[in-house]
Amino acid sequence: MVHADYKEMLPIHALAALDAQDDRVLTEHLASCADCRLELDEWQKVSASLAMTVVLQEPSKEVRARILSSISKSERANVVPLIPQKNVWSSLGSFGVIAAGIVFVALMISVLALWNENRNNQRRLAELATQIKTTQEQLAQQQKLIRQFTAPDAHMTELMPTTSAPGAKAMIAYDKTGHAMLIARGLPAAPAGKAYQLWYIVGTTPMPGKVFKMDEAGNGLVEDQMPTEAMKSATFAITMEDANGAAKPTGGILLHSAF
Amino acid sequence: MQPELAQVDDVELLKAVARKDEQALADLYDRYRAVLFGLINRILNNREEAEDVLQDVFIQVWGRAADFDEKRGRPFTWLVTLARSRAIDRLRNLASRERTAIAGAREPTEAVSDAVSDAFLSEQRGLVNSALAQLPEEQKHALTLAYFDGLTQSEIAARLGAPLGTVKTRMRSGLMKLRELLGGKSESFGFE
Repeated sequence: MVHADYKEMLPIHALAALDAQDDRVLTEHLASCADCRLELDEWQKVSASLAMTVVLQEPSKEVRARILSSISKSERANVVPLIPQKNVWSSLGSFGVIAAGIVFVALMISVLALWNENRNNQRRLAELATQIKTTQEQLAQQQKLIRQFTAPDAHMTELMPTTSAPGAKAMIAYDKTGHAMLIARGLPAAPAGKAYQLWYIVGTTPMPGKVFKMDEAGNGLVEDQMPTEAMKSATFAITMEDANGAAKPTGGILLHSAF
Repeated sequence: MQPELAQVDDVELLKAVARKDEQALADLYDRYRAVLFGLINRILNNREEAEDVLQDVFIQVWGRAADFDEKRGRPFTWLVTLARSRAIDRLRNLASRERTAIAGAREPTEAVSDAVSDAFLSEQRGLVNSALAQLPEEQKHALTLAYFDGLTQSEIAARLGAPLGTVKTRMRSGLMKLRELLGGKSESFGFE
């Protein structure tokens, strides 16, 4: 079949009047022939003009209503719902999100717990370090105190309470160099701005020693260098003075050694 | 057809339909319902069937408006081709006995006054009827049997008792003459 044969078929094809065999052959040709497709468009316009010869008729009103109702329904059916429809994968995804959320929350709780525990541990560690340091200092002082009090050349003098400090006790130990250590018990904690002060009384002259405070355990400890004058014969006394100490006693004697 | 509707280009209406503008489809229906229903009912000669096909056609327009290519023809041609195709399909799906009964029982139908009163369509119909009237009767008859009765060239030959080649020539010659008669003065038909 030559091209002219196809072209002869085009007007009849535009009328949809080709026999099945011819229609199949031409359709195959049209698929690969733009020239014939273009010409067919022209024949279809002529063919369509025959529709103008019909008697115009009014369909029933219901047809319009049915058409518009039908397309509205189809559009509603095609509308993508705002809430995504659930399917297996989206459900799995949702479960995954929930599971991830639970894991995340659990992880955060664990992290917070660990962080809190760590902070507590650090605080305890710091407290322990402080306690250790304090204990070490106390131990060092006790060791020094023991050495001081057990030294072969140590002189020890006990201080007795006056009526102003009933129940209180104190002991002072000093060596030949004048290095002295005093330990006191039973004194109440000194008020703010106040401290206890050690006095060396040579004759009738009080010579100031160091100030000290009672610790939480009720112990008072002070290390001092005795004045040379007090090395030969001295009386020891404790008064309450200002926290920085005083040059002369202003408070009453709380404890004292034998005069 | 309403005057304000005529101001809206058919191509724009179809583009709007492609964008799922329901009002555009309603406007298109209002504009062409009478001629399309007339065509479908002319082919089927059964109002109920014709209305059913008309509904199918506009639902198809709703779904396929995006397929319309204005470079290949005017919306009217596209709509008519679609409507005729659906009507012929429906006709050919009917039993041959029913087809014969339909063809034999064909009677003139009553025109719709408001549709006929449309000046644009009246002019178009006048041009085509005038051109068709100038065709030889055997050509006009062959075209009518093909276009409105949905007969193939062989069926027409059998119906007329004429050689197949003769029927083919009558059909081709009739359409060529029609194109010639309408071509110079009917741009509205979309002829080049």
